[in-house]
Amino acid sequence: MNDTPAVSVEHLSLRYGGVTALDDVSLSVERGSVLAVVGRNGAGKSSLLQCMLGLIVPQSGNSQLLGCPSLDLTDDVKARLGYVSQSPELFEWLRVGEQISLIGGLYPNWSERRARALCARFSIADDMKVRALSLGEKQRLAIVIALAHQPDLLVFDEPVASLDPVGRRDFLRAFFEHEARDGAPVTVVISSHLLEDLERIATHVLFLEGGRIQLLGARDEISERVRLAVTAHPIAEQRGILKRRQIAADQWQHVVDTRTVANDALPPNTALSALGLGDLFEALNT
Amino acid sequence: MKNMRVLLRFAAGLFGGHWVAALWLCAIALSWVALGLGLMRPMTLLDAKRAYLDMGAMLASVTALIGVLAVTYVRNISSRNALWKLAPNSERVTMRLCGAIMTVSAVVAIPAVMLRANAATTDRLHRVPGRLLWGDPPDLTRTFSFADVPAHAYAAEALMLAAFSAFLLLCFRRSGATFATGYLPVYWAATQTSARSLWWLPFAACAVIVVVEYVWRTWLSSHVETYLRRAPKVQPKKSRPPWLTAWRQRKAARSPGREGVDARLAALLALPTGIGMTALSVIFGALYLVLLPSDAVEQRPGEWILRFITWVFAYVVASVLARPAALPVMRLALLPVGHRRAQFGEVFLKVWWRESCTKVLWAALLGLTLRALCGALGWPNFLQGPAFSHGATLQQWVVVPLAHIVGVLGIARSIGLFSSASPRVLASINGLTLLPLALMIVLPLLAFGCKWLIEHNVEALANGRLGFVTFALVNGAIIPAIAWGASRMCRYQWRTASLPAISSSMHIWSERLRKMSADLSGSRA
Repeated sequence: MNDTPAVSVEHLSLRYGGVTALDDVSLSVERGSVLAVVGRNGAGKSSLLQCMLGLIVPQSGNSQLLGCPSLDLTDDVKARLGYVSQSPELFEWLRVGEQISLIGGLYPNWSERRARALCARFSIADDMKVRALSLGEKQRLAIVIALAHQPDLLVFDEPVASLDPVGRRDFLRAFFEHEARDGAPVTVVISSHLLEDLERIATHVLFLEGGRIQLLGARDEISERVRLAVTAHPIAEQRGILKRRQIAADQWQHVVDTRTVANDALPPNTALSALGLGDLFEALNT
Repeated sequence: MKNMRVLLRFAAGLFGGHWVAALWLCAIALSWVALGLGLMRPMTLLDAKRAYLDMGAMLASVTALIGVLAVTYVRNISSRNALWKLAPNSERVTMRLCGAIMTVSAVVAIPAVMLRANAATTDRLHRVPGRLLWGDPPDLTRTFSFADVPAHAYAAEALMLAAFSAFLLLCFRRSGATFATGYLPVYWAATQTSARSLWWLPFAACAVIVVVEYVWRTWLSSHVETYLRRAPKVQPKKSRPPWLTAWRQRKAARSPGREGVDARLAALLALPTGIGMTALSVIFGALYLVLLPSDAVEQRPGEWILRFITWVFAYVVASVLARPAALPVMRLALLPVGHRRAQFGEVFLKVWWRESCTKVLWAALLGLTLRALCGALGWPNFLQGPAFSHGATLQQWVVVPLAHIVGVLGIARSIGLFSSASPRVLASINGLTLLPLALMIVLPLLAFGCKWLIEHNVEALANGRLGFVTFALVNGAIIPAIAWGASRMCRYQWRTASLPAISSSMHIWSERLRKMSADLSGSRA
């Protein structure tokens, strides 16, 4: 088995005019893992994914997909890649079937049968014009195109944002059933605001804030080590105190990294409560 | 590529659909036909049929250069569209597609170079008889064939086409300027041979477009940088209409009395149209008023052609200015008028009429100002040449343009009347798309019929005398009257109109217009 990570990002920085979209972001995604990228609007999630794929050229840093530089992806790597963007850029003048055939014709290992089956699952009529589809239907078509060639690296940028609950369920089902063509482990990088969905699928979580990594790690490890502490007085800013917020006159809420925080930083007998992904997101971003 | 049929369909769709591809192929065929005519039939310098060769030269040049523009467009799309860019072999398919387009362009470049060389040579002979750059002074009665065109002329035209193609590739490949903006320099390049003094104009136009486009995309358009910079405020701002629409809505809301009803209705129902499309249509209308209206009597062939173009272009301009905007039908159903379905057509007409009137009047203001400026300065020659070729009189300055404004307003009114006549047409997106095109073809035919009748029955207007009066009479009164009659006859259809179907097609139409405007302004809508 190849040991190179599926995705490797080193010191990625991206600025738009005077705004920093990404600030020295480095991460590595092991093969077979599912990385959930979480953050508020404008946190840099889409920019990160697009830099990762070579769709945007960063000011500094570099990234690699399956061992290949993102800005110079080979056909072989492209054939193993599936991408769904936030607003799918489909060719509006084609019919659904033609759109699938056009893109499918470019992939050496495209499975027409699988594409039709996915279309049926996502209830997309083959003969409809793409421009006549609703936003949700376009999103579903983009998912079909991304999954039909059975890639082993999937990058989803808010894939379910425009889907109804049934669409979301179908997406998750297709997601769980997805297998790479050659049986290779499937790596997924997904950004979404639907944290309950991410909670079900993510093995790793990346929290972004203002283009910087706020928190990154395996989900189990994060839920084990990151805890919520409520104290009567604020704890001084220091290593291990990720966020501090006053919630009442004599109550302060702290997001604490229990592995890195100093032993004497917390008052004795402070209760540390576990956090779900949603609670953690809220605690880190309010 | 496994499926060639799909690839061809993709390529055709990329450039606007099958009919655009068909037009391109027709243009190639016609270019070769024009070359064949020139090769088989030597003509004198003053032969009227020489016009076919000149038109063939223009058509072939446009067709060849559009191919180059298409290549830049394909390259731009392939590098920007994530789905395409991330697909394997897409680069190879893109190269093959570009290669095919360039081959077709090269096929039509042959007649383009030959016909342009012919046109350039005759141009030089016409302009400075006896002082040629090469060869002997011509005998105007002697027949002139391709054999008489010197080799330098072919080389000069080939060089000019090649240089402009390279410049076009350079400018549009890198800049990401939209396909539509490229038409203008291509059209100018087709009209300017090496014999013309304005041969540099298409090059300058290209450079200006690229610079303006860069400035627009970098500082003015609402793309990702702006989105990020204003991230916390973007949501409330997005829900607000653009400032011009907001100002018009506020103004209309304050319109008092019965006269204000139409204004209030229009402000309530008119969806904000893209500023790109609106500005372009106004500039288009203004340029029409600067360039074409003339009170020349149709005696010489050139003036007849100018008058013909003035009439035909009036319909093109009016179609652009009065294109039916998408309307929120279900919002209309909630108004007090909502229970009277038979009146919906009238409401549509009122809203469209108000929109097109505003645009025509803006175009008139801009056009008259520019016309006055060009006339006063005497510069640039090509802008004020046709309009003032018969002397700058009050008639030329005021009466003729006003007559044309009346004509264009009349055509705009007729387009509104025809468009709002049948709900069945509005209920289909194809109907909404094809309607302006159909009107652009049918209305001029009707107008030319009326013109012919008037000129053969009214002595004062015979033989193109007071052509601007005929123009205003036909387009400002007769055509709208016919349109009004037709709309009255079709009005009964509104009683059984399917509002959900109209609403659905209007929604798609609105999306299409919004996208078109965004494409034009280079913004991410």
